Amino acid sequence: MRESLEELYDGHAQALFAFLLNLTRNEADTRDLLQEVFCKIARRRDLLDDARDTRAFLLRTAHNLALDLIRRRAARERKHDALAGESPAVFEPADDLDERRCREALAAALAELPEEQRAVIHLKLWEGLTFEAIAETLGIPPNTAASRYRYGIDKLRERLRPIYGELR
Amino acid sequence: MNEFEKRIAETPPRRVPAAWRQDILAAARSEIATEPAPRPARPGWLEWLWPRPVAWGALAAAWVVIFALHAATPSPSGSQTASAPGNTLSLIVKRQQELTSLLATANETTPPKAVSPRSERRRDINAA
Repeated sequence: MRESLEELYDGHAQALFAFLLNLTRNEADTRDLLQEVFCKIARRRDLLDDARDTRAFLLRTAHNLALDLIRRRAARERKHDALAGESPAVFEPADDLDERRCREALAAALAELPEEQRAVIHLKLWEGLTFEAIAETLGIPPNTAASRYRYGIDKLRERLRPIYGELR
Repeated sequence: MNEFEKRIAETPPRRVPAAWRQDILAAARSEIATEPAPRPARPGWLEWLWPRPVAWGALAAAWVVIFALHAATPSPSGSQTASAPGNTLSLIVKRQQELTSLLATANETTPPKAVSPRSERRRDINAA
């Protein structure tokens, strides 16, 4: 049975928002892209009817739109360094001061990763996808997904060692 | 997944702002409203021709040109066929006149020799 737009939004908007925010590191862009995803679905419901996994299809659509935006933005502004330094709030604020510092550090460390590693890490850690599912979502071979994940995690571990020192 | 990865995965992503829901869904619904109406179904024959409209158009144009050239070019027997009824009638009348005059001439000059019986012909042969 076909889901309504409201049901689709309630079921998937949070995952798409977190993914897009982690990719774009910009709240306004994330909002535009999220709206674009749902407008696209509204225009072409048949695309979703053919999809085996609704969440995977929406994530793939969001990823493609985000890539387009990032490329356009990079060509227009060349602000990669400034972008990495922005570190917008991609995580829920924490009441505990140490936990807040950890989250801010994690957000900053993620922002330093290349977009392709960040996308794989997000889908693996926060969406719980397998490397095969990540590969299908991003349109890359599973081995590439796994290697991007390992490179990204190693960089995060290195970057966060002072804060997450007790965790190996 | 090791402890480090688990620790990261437990960090809750930021919640999508609640105020976005209404605006985004309204924008999505407006996309449905502004979507162009589906094109009316083409008749079967047009559906069959549709994949190559230019090719079919070119073929039709070629036929028109061929037909026009055929109609414009005079055929070798065209003039005869155009006046055929009149010619045929005059030809028949002429032939009839010739035949009549021929018969009249033949009657005047040499009367037909009567054919003698076969027995008399034998007599003639013996006499000779």
